[in-house]
Amino acid sequence: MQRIFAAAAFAVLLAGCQSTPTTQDAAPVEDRAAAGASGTSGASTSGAGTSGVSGTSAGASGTGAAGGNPLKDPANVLSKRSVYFDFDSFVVKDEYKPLIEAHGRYLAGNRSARMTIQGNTDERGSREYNIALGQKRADSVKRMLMLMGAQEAQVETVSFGKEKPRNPGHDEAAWAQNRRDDIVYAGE
Amino acid sequence: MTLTRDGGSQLYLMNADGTGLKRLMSSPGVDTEAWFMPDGRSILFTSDRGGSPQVYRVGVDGGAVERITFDGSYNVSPRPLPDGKGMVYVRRDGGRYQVAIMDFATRQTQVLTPGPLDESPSVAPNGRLVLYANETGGRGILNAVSADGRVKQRIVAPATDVREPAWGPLPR
Repeated sequence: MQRIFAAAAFAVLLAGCQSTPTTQDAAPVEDRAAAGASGTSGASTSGAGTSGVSGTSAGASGTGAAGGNPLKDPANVLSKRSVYFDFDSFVVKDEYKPLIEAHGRYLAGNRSARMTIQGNTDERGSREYNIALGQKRADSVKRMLMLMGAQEAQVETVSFGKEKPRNPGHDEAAWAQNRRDDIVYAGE
Repeated sequence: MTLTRDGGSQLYLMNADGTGLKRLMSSPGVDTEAWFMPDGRSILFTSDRGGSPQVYRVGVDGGAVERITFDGSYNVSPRPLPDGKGMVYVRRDGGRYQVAIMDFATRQTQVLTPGPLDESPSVAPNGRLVLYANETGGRGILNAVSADGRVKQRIVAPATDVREPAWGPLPR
């Protein structure tokens, strides 16, 4: 419980920091000390459980970038959140493995980070079967993340089947965009 | 019903009052779209355990599983006929999704609808009419076809998106 409070306190701290980028560098160091030592909660957690995601240390993602949340930095692979699939398939293609590995390492290095993987399909075929296929797509990515060191509790999966297409079109270009997992971190 | 509590979609049986949850079987793949046969003794369902989604049947005691469809790489959404002698389902053939009817004794199949995106068939209690949704422009349009495929009818409805049509209970 204490760790949650500490992490949430840190999240509140960083939420304030994000508008002043110059202080961002100092924040990661503070995190380690705060998470380790602080037993008191100065922050209201409101039981939201969205702990410690924002702006955690650049060191974890290995970029060493000065300032900025690596999850939101367009130059960082962690800002890429979508994995696309071939028709009828839930197999993760090679081109997406670096992206998933990066997110896996991030989760492994930030134990309070939480994400949800949302699985989707294109509009063709059985509604109910597509729920199951979207679930398999989400589970595929989850398995890879855990191989990279993420913990079970850090990754939730959900399937939207064909119910929430990103592209409302009815051709292969649209369908290709909809056969997709999206990674969403808690608190976003 | 289908649950993903154990990872992957699997089939479970439960009493109507919510007690007695029992996993029906274990399979490495996805099992979903389960429907009781009219005699209540077996269940039709969709599974990709063989590498592609196909229709299977299993006894409610969870015994031997029998594969029902073999043609093509996508056969889903089974709905038993009221007399238990066959089923309607959705098959994909060359990119078209069509409603088809199969007789279990002969394993003969007849395609009932033209596609290209037909789904969610539902059989009338008298076994002679099949409702289904034809997806056009992202909306489901309600259609009906006779079980012998000879009569087709688009059912006019207000501008809505029809999904999963089902027959109401017979009035008494």
